Amino acid sequence: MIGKLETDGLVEHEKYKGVTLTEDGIVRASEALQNYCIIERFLLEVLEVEEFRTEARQLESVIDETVAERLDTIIDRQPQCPDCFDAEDDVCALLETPATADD
Amino acid sequence: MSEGRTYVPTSPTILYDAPTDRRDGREGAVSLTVPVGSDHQLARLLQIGIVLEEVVEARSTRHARRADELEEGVEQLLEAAATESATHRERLEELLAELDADTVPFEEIERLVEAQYEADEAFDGILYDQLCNEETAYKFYDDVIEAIEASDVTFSVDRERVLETLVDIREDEADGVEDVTRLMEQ
Repeated sequence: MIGKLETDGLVEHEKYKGVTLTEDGIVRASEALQNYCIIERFLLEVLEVEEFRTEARQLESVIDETVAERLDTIIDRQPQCPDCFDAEDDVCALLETPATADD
Repeated sequence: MSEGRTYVPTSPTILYDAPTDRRDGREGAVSLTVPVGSDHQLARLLQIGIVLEEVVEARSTRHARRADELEEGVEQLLEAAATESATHRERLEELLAELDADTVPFEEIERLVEAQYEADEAFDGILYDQLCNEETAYKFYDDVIEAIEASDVTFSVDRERVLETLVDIREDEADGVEDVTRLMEQ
């Protein structure tokens, strides 16, 4: 996988030092993260799916960026997305989940 | 690989790769199709298809309301698109009902579309939006068909019927892309 990403110019791999994203890699990663944010927010806001994190991961391979763009027309996503993504919680930090809504 | 793949997008705005490499539409991309693993996942994908159709129906209807700004061909195209999307939605809802899952009420999606609709879209913007609608729907159904074909799960709804329905709808979307493209070229 790393070799493929390297061939595509998305990462640079240096032996014993690890892997770094290239500029193109950062752009692609940001796009992928944005799609993921759209799917999560769509599942929660429109379909009211409780397990939206789990289902977003399952749907990620079927919902590409063209489809995500359309879904994006009916959700309420903030302009700073996907920088607001909280990797630890696997969710947009600005997404009001049922748990945070109860806080 | 699904059969009946006849549509090759002509739009310069969205380019797809050959089927084996077309996961994200980029050259050299690896196919990462994940098979549909359960009734629940299938139902969720059908729900998303229904929402996409509802978005098309709501946006086309909204565009068509501006009839005084549109040429006759455009108005007819939008009305036909809205009608076709309603038909697609009903066909998907029939399958969804057999999976014992709820649909997404059209009124709810219509409300969300209205909330985001930009009233100042120009004539070219309307046709471009319609082209995106059709291309997006085509791409979605194409991916879902592939994910179902890659699955060996026995669904509680007849797999062949699901595939026939989705292939039919995908063909309509391909025709829709061609109709819009023709109109844009005039």
